[in-house]
Amino acid sequence: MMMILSTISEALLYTCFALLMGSYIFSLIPTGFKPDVVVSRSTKHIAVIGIALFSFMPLINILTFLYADYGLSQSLQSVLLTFEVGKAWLFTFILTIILGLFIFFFDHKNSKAYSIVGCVLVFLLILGLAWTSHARAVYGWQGFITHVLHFAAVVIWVGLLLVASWFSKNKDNWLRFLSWFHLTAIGCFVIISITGLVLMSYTMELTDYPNTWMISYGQSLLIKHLLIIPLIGYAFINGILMKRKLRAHSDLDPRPWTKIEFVLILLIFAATAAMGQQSPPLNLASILNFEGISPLFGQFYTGPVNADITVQLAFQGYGLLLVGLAVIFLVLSILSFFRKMHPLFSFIMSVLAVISSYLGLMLSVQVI
Amino acid sequence: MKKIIIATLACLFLFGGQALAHTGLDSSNPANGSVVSEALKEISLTFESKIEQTSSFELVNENNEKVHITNLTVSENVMTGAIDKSIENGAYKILWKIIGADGHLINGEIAFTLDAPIVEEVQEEISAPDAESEVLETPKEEVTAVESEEDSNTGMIVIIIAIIVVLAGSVWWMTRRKSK
Repeated sequence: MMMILSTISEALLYTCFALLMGSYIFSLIPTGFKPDVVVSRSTKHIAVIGIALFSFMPLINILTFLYADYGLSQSLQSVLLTFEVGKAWLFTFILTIILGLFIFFFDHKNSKAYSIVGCVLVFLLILGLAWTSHARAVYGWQGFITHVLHFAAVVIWVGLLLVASWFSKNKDNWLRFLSWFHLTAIGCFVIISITGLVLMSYTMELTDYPNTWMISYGQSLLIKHLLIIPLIGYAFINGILMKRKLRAHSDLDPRPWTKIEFVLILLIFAATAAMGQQSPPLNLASILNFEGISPLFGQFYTGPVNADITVQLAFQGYGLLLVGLAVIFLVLSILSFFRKMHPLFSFIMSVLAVISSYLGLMLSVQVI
Repeated sequence: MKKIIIATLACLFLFGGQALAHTGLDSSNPANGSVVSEALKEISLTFESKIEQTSSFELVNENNEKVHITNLTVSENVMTGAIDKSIENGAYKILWKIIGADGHLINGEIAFTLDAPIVEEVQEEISAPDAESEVLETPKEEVTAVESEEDSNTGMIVIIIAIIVVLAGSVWWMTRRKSK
């Protein structure tokens, strides 16, 4: 239960970051290159409060753990003043107060300087979040910088997408908006992919990837990667197909399709947040010993579990069939754009593609 | 087209792994599964990265009785504790619970056997310099098969059929839409 709450809270935390960063970058763009966007002051305040609250969630886990031994006031004191997560949260909390006041007093002013200050404040908050990352705990400065780059690129790209699709008043200038957003998104993709790969290599040998599917962390990472496949499809629809279609039919509204892309990203956020609650496979054998295999993996594998088992993929029978079905679902999710289906239909096709490919992979797993 | 390929490749590794999790045990003295052949005075646990001050461990014997640990200290990534009284030979477990610098709570246990020579004896008959002569690695209990192989197979067939039905329905819906 606590785990589900923590996961939701973490996913919402990323969304709050994205919303603020997106709205500040958007206000830096010249008027002719973006649709009319309004992110109200109260929305921004909610996002700021969200950052302060949701980033406190990991501390609640620690406090409930220490409470029995030390009592509330002493554990609160030691967590906030001596723990890395506590100090980082205090830093975040002070910054959210500054950002909240800044929004209250200055945000309505239509000056670029204020937007830049907003961007800087959000970036400082990103530093606070990355401070308590696993990457920094184990790899020091190198891990910290990698994590900052990874998260900042996510926040910039997703933030722009979120603001353009959910907070735009109209679809004016959409083609000119795409002309720069498409490049920005690709730039962020490249950074996210490189830093993501580095972060992944911090927790496992990349060749061990299938083996990590036995534990919860690997399961979450696999689901995350599978969710990214339809995301590529939507990036293709919204970045390339939409441009062509808008040139031909200027009355088309592109926003429902970018909204769907954002909802898919929310699912990816949730998978990422789940990983944060689980043990990374730094020492796979000892995790298998202490925690056993992931409950999800246990649905497909009922054999003996010990530290020496490894996973291999052998596609045959049902597994192959399901992977084939996944490909068809994926094709349908993109075809539905051409057939002018409702974006929700396409989204359901994408989710089914992810489910089928997941089942296909799990059935093809052979434990040795 | 080039952009698409780049974006596609990039997406493959997108979000590669936002690692935000646990600090594990790196090494310990006594080590897990080892046989200690000298009197045990001190226990030290080394973790992979910094652990917080409230981290602690307990030492319990076969009957789950706690052995008193004095001078428990945490310094960066090392936690140590001393045993004042000499303790009887037998199987012991170190139960540790720590909080890592990334704020995660982790528990674990280290099992070892104490087989120290009785202090009064002058001549040590067996001098065992190699502490790790025996490894008591005990794999976690095997997961019991909840379903028989056949049951899970039919379950999967039902799921696959359901997926195919949904797929057929979706295709039908799309073509119907087209003909309008």
